[in-house]
Amino acid sequence: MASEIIEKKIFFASSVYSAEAVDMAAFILEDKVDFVIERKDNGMEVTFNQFSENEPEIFANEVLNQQCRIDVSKVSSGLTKLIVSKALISAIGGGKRE
Amino acid sequence: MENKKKPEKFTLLFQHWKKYKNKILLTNDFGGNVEIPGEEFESICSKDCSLAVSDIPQELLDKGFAAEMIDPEKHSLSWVKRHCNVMMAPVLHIMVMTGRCNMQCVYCQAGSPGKQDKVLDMSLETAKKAVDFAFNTSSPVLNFEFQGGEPLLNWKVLADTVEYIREKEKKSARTVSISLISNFILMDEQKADFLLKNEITLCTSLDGPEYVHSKNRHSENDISYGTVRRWLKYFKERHDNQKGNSYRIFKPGAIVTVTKNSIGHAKEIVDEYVSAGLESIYLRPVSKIGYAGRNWNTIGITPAEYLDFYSEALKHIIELNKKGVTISEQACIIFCSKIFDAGNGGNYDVDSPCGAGTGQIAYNYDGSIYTCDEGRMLAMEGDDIFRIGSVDDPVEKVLTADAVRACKCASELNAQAMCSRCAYMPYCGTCPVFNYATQGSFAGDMANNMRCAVNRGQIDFILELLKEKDNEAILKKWITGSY
Ligand code: SF4
Repeated sequence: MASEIIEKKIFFASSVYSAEAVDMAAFILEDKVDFVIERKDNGMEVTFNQFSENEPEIFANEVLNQQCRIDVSKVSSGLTKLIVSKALISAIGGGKRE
Repeated sequence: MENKKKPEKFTLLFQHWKKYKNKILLTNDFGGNVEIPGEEFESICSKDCSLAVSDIPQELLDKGFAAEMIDPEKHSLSWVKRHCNVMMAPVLHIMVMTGRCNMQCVYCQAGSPGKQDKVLDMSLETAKKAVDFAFNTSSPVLNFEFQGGEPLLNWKVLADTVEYIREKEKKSARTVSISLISNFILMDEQKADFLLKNEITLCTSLDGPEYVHSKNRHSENDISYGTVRRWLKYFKERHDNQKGNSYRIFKPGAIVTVTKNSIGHAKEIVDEYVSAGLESIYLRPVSKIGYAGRNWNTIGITPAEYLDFYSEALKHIIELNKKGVTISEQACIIFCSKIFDAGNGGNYDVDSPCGAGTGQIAYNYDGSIYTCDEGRMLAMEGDDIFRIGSVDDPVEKVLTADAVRACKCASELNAQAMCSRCAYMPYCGTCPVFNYATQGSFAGDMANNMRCAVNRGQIDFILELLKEKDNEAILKKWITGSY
């Protein structure tokens, strides 16, 4: 589908979305979606200059996904660290055998 | 809580749940699952978190949902069995003997470079370094898997490497197994003899009856289907008639890649396996990564299409079992192993965290090491993000490389937005390579993730099947192998 030259803005309020979530979504989608981020007092505004199909929605979805991950990790990061550390320590084991 | 007098009061731990039809499916980290009516769930949840025994269905107490009933030894063992990747050093060592292939399958990039480009072959020196690397890890069990491209195109190095492995094995206390994944086009009696005498497990690709197989797997003069069937028959006969041999011959195996060409042929594909004398089938959907991703319009399938295919095939397999035919399905075995508390099904992908770099590693023909074969396949498309070192690097450096650590964190499901509460988390796993290739991040976004949709659908279907006692008995038999 051809790109349409129109502008769309989405505002991510800081009461719901952290700057980290918006930045992570931007990092993940920078090659696929054309956007500009502007930091405002109470959140972040993302402007999509040239977009096709549902790219702004994909971006918003990824911000939501990242925010949920941040929120979940506040509760579970201790457990995750423990499991990941155990996996890495087991992987290197006792070092050389022979 | 002031009234808490054990064991009259219990604290319920609802970690993972989902609405399923008009019931609620509850699961926990020990793999326990219980379905209770929605009203009962609401009634339990509306009460104080400390409940009288009369308020709680007995099944919840028996299956590890009550804090006071947790047996640390039994329940931690059950967690460990389900996540044994976390407890071990890499077992699976995938050796890509060559990037060349003599076929041009619709879902694989290996056919593109052509047969002649020997620069894509692993040298014996690199192969030996890869074997040394594997023996330098601390795993007491090592499984070397030769693949490619088509590994038989680099036969001399392959054969010398097998001898090198067997020599090293004699001097070590390791349990070593070797397997070979081949299209069999270059197989002959001499090679077959050598492979069998070295106790190598042989596996090939058989995508179904000829009219499906040949659409997916293109070979010069269309010889692939006939070749595969002929050699499967040969290896099966050698297996069946091995009495008196001084070496063990294992049953040959095969895997299916389910593409658009397979849709509508679920039963015929299963029947093809039965007629080839195979006792196991692995119905893997084509993965939208690397070359297959670029060819998606021609071969791609949606999760819904795959799940229709899968459920038809699995129902057929179970019906065949009821008639006394010996055939099992590998994805079902992986999920059922976890549901029945019988380990992780010997799998590195469907685990939390996944086995990338810790349960398995892949050695490319040039000596580069990747987290897994999927990570290596992505590198063949020009993205080296899953490269974790080379055969010249120290083991500790490779196995703790950035990509390994990132894969662990991204695939540990407690840290995932949707997974952490998902009822299927105790049985599930996510693949950072797939997530990265299709969604741009190692962790992915499960709400829109194809593999998540497939896993959810498969587990739903399997749990539904398990409601019938005779189905349960068949699936349990697959896990224990007690045919
Ligand atoms: S990948 Fe999907 S099915 Fe598996 S635990 Fe996560 S959300 Fe659930």
